[in-house]
Amino acid sequence: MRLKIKTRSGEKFQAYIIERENSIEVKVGDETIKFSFIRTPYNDFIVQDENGEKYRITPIFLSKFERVFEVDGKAFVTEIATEDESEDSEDIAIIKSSFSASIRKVYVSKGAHVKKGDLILDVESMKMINSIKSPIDGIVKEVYVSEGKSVSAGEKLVVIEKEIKSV
Amino acid sequence: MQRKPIEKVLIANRGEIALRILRTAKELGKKVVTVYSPEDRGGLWRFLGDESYEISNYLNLEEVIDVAKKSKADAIHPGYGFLSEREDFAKACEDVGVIFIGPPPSAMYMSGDKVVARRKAQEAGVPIVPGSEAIDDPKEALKIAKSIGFPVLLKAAGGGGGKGMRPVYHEDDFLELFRQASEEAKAAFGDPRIYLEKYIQEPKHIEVQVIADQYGNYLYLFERDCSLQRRNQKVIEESPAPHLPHPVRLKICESAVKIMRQIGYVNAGTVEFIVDKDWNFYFIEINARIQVEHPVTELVTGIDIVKWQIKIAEGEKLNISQEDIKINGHAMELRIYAEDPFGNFMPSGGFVSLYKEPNIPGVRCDGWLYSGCFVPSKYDPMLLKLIAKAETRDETINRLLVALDELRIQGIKSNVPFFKFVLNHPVFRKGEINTWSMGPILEEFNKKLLEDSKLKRHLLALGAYIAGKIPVIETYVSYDGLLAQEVRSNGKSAGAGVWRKIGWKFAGRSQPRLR
Repeated sequence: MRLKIKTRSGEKFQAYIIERENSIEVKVGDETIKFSFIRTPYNDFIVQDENGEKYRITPIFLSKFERVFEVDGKAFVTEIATEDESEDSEDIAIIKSSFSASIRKVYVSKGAHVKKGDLILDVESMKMINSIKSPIDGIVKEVYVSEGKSVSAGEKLVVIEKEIKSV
Repeated sequence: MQRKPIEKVLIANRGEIALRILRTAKELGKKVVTVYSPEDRGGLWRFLGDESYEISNYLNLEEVIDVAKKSKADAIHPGYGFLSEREDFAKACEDVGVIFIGPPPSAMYMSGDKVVARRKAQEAGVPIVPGSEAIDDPKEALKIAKSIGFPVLLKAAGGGGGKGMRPVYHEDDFLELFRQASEEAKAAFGDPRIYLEKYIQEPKHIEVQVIADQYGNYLYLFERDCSLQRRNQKVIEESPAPHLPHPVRLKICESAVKIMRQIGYVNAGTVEFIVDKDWNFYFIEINARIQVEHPVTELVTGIDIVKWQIKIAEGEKLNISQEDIKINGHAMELRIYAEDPFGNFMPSGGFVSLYKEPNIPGVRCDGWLYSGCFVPSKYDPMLLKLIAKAETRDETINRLLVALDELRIQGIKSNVPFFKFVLNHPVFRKGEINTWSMGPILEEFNKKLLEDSKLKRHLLALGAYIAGKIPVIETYVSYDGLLAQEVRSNGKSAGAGVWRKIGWKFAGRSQPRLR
């Protein structure tokens, strides 16, 4: 299995993983490490590398984009690469809901000019209102939601594109 | 005064507090009625009571009263939040002859209206923070803010819990923050009015638990320090308050009782104070209900507060004297929430694939999760309260760390990693926490997360691979609303997408609604 991984500090790399009966082989670059493992009743994996170094890995969370786990009680987050990763660049801001929520207020409409920091939406989740502000100066290309609508995690809300000024 | 044994208690709440009350009510030999919303059809409290009824919404006063009539319950325990501090609800209970387990409507009115509560505190000779009456006009509010002097604190007139609360440091930000606070207050309590207070720098939040019977007997169960807060929501609570000089402790506790006496309070309630660096304390508000953090007081005093709530409502007299109540050891509570500590603590509901509580002497888990349950995003994201007691504060913290090591919540994100960080933080270990401490601690936490990703890549990849093994449940829905579930594991669908093949629509990764 191939995993494309992005760390929290922004490093990207690929890993090749083969699971065998009592071991898991992980290849990153030219280096392959073989870990033997025991699976605990609570889904923890106690792994040991060839030098006898032991780690306890506890799975916590899995989504299409993200994996969270603990190594020896310390939490780590990795992002798993997806196809539409290239969409998000400095010229276009795709505002997505990072959790399921309901839309309280929509401040912009399609075609509106916005400045960085302008209010775009108020979303409510678990009784908390969060104001979403524009990350860039630009034009609102698309508004996918309306007031009162419920959205789920990862859903696109608004797309803002940088204005291209003709010289 | 009434002395009437309660036979059947209706619990008008959900989650951990519904279970907490249910257990004590059963212990006292009462029959128990519970309610649940459509989102909570899988809630444990639905199955553990003697009767349970579906209602559309926990805030719907009429529906709850209807259930009380239908089930012939003779008392209602409102828990915290929802209808717990609604005077009209307490009155509605009275009107249909049901005992409301809580303060009388008059005391609820005086504590619920913060402006009246402040006046009563002054009458009782207890100092208050300089501030204003409830206002709805932002321009008028700005004028008053200028006269008090910045920084000021905006607070919702209609309720507590930090909803609608905003500090304002500069005049220029005032109108925008007032608008936000007012919107949030309206969403949470249906009342957009805001009042202002002088903002005290680096304050501690210390509150006193009081219980009072119907015969004018008042007891204080000492204090809780709830200074570690994020966005004005309590995160960790403990008792006793670290470093609090004992003479000040007695003065605060006695002041709390004075205020409660002044308003004729009955049943369990909490008086909140703000305490400055020189241990000057000011009254802030009364919480006329059982509080989330009541277990820390129960653990250090040995008094079951919910049990006394029921007994007091039945007309029983307090048979304990103030001298008998002692603080024994140190207790601390962690509020474990379904929120993403790596993503700005955004709420994160979903399907819990595995749940296991630590079973350790001196540790108490007040929660409601089970393996396979669904955490709806509609409600407050609290999953459980992990509470520990030991002889000293240091031992209590260590005990919590051991407990966290055995707690397993898989499938959803929670703030457990943050607690592991805080409990080891030198400032926290020293007990030098005020309500402003969270900012710098969070900053360090986020920095640490970046450093941590320098872990060897092979191990990171292995961890990501192992996290990929968590089972996920996918829900499919047919054109006529039938539901089907598929368990996916390691990226593969157990049924190989059979539902999708026959034209059913993918409805999300979660648990379907139970019927």
